[in-house]
Amino acid sequence: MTGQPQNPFANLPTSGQLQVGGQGGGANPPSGFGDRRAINRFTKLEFSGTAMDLFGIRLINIILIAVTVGIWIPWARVRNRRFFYNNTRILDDGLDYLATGFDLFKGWVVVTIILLAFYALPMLGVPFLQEGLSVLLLLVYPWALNKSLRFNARNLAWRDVRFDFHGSYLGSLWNFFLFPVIGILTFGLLLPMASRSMRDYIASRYSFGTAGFFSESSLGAYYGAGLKTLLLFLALFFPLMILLISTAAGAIIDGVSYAGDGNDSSNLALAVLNILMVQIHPLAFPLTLGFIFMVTGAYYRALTRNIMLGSLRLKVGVRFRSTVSGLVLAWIVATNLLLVIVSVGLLLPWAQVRQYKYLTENTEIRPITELTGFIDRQSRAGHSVGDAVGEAGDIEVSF
Amino acid sequence: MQFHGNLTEAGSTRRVRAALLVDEPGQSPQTLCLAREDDTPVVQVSVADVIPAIGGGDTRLRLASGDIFHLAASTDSRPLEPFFPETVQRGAVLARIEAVGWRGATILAVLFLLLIAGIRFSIAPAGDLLAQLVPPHIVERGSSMVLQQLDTLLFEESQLPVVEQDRIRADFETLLPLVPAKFHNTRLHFRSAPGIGPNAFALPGNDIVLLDELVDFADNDDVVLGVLAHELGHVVHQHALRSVTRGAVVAIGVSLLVGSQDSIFEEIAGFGSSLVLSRQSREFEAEADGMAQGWIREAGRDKQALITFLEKLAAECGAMCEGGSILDSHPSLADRISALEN
Ligand SMILES: [Zn+2]
Repeated sequence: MTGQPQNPFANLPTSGQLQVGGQGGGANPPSGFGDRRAINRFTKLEFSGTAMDLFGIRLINIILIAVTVGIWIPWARVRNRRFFYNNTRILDDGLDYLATGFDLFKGWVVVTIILLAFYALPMLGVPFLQEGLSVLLLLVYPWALNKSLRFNARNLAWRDVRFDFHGSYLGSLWNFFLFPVIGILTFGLLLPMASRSMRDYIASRYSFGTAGFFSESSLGAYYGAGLKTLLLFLALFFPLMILLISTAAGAIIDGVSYAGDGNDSSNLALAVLNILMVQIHPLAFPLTLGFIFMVTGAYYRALTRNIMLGSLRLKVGVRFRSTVSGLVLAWIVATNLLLVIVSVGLLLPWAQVRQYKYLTENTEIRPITELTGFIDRQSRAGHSVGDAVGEAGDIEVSF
Repeated sequence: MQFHGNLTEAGSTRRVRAALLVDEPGQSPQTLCLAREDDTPVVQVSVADVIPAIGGGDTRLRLASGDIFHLAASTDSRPLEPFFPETVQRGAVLARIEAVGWRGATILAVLFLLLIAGIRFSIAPAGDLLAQLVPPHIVERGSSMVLQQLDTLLFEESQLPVVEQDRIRADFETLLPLVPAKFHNTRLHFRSAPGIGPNAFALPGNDIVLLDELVDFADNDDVVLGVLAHELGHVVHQHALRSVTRGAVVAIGVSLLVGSQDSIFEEIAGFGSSLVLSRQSREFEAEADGMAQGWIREAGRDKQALITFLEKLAAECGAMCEGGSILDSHPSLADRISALEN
């Protein structure tokens, strides 16, 4: 044993005594030391990244993208995702994002070739070729979405166990496309049902190593969320519309009085208002409506997220909880949007960290035993040829 | 030196406190050793792969045994770097550059704002330069493809009697000697599109499309000629091509700024840039109007006709056309009329 230094842990009390207060003795089996405190109680996830970190990452990315005329984009995305995942801490341990920029680059090349073919083929002059390809591209979309979700899940690991996503073509077609469209076509009447179906579908198709996630939430809760959202929408919509309409009415009255007498000083203010109205009016309505949709959308997402995470289970035992407030999230989304626009994007990293941190730190996990029993599916299942081919062909296909 | 962290057993969630050791008393030089909390003997290890820390995250080292060592973010891992595979050392350098302080952030923020301003003000010159670089035969090919697409999607065959078509074409050809030789072959296409209403278009190449609806609405050869002169103005200044290339420059700028993320802010940036582009297209309209007036005068035709037409258009569609807002591609009709009258 020459050349081997002394074990620094030999002289120290074990972390069991320091941290947990229960684990005694020398020959401990490997264990998750932080986990014990978390058994049978909800522990918040933490986020250890700061806006300043993201600011540096983002600006260096911009410079590298500029220097490499865009080639750096896949690598930039990986750094961006790593920042968010790596700093998301579940019981002290961050998530590891294992994909490389080159992995994303491969997917990007495939998508570029498909799109180039899509735009170049009509030059051949075959009638209805582009229409046929459009339909084909639409049909490919659920498959591509599954592929991307799976790619990202498989490249996400906690400790050394990876996540996975097993979406089915029909399941994704129905839950991501058809059902939401039906929800909108029924004037939102079936929208909560579609949201529930989609959220439960996503949750149930994820797995962590060999353990599956499972969620079956109550339909009533989704309709409750939908109703609250509708009330918020109306509460925001009517005052803003009244404001807009009265501004428009003021301008019409102004037009009349302007014709009557020209140099009344109060008319100056009205004239300014008129100019503002003519300049702003065509935009005011759609922008206000878009803003309201964003805010109420955030509110609805928060409520349905709480419902879904509340009913989510991992391998029977592990439970989750989301304590996001719909109004707080709506406020964050609204103020973020304004600040990003006012700062021409400079505050974007700050806004994104603020929103992500809020969501993460209002997510809780509640294990029933120490979280030491999970096993990575891929490594335990051995390396069959199918696996190798499957993994080599794993790409992110996003349009 | 001791580098404390967690050791996770390969492919599992079992982990234990551990430390990587370098240059500890009794340790052979230039070796990396691993000590575990659970009393197993200290062993020499090598690092197979590294994912450098980012922000406040942990550095992830995969050891040759397959086990994972997570090094706390606050640890300075530089003394460990000689033990990393060469390929990952670059990543570590990148992570250090990204860790800007307040001073660095301020400098980068100023650079960022300069970059935004730079992109904003280089749209027109860079786009126009790009337009010059496109070979003419590609432009011609693109132009005929656009016309083909429009024919299948929007346009129908013209219902104008051939006599009337010939008269308008002959009128139009009196303008051609007035424009630079490069544009003498500008072609006039007659089409109909009831869904669009009275309109005429200039395509990226030397092609102008005149809709029957406009001929009916104008009801006067001088007006039709005025509109054609306006479209010829677009052709001579290559406005259609330049909007395409300017749009491409904007797209490049947007992907530069937000390409690294997956978020809806891409759409917001796109919206902002469409505002910039629409302002430029209003400048194009004014330019085309100006050219048209000059040629009409040179050709000795009715200068008032285009003004009358715009007034008629304004009266017809009322407040709907009276936008002139920052979103409209055309300046308000009132602005155009008063510009033409001066
Ligand atoms: Zn025009």
